[in-house]
Amino acid sequence: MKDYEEFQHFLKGGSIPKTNNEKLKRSENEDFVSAYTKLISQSQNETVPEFDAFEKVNQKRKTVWFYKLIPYAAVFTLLLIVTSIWFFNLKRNDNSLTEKQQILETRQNIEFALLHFSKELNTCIAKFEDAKKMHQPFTEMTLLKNYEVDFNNPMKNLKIN
Amino acid sequence: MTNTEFEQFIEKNKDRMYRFAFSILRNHEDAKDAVQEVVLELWKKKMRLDKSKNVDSFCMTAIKNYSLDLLRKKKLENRFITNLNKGNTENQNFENIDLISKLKNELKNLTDQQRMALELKDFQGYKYEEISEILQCSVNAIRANVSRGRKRLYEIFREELK
Repeated sequence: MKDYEEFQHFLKGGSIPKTNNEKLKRSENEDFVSAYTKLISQSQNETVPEFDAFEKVNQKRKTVWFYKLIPYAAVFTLLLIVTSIWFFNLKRNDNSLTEKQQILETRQNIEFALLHFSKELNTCIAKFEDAKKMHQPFTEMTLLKNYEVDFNNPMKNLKIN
Repeated sequence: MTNTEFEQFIEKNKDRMYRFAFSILRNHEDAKDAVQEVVLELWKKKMRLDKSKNVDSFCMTAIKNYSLDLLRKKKLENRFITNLNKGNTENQNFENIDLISKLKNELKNLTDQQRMALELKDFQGYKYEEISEILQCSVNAIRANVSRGRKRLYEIFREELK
């Protein structure tokens, strides 16, 4: 009777009654309690498969670390860009200065060459005029072509686009 | 809660969390996933976890909520049904398996609420008040679920003995 009450109490949510496993004749209720107790102990003794509970935490940590790094990388890149632009401008200013110098030099060379050419031309015209005044024949005048022109013209080595 | 305290707490309780998740989901991968997700959520809130409060109950409630959410998803529901059928098939195919294994199989056929209540009460040894806190139900409701679950198992057991 006591066992029955105990079992009914168990079925209503009470504590699990203790069973006597050594009894030869056991009731259905006791068999159930015994099987249920064994099931509980089996489940409690079952080994939990090995796994890393922190796997996702570690993944998250890595992501957080990565996102924390982004502002530093952005600042570094910005600095790099600013420095590059500064150096580029510096070089461009240098280049424009060189170009100006070259143009000035070319202009001076052209002026010098023109002066030289005009001198040569004046000499040639003067000789031609003299020959004309002396009524020299045309054939004589062709001798003018023997006039030695100073070919050391600084223009000849000058590259003009 | 500091990092070290949090890690120690999880290492100490992860098996218990896994068992509870497994009792709901009945799938190793899902149970493992549930534990990892809950640990991640707790890690985010670790600074706000107050040691004076019942962190253990908080963890188990989180496991319950996450596992039930998973179950609600259609895909997992399908898998759940497949697992159930698999369990039934096993039961039909192996008529001679011992009573304990039969009880174990029948445990799977209980409702979620009954199974969770039995798992926490009988298999994990929580008190009714603690289970009430974890499952966010009244003590009477938990007691009723434990009682119904045990009665259901007893009925099946009796039928098996006949």
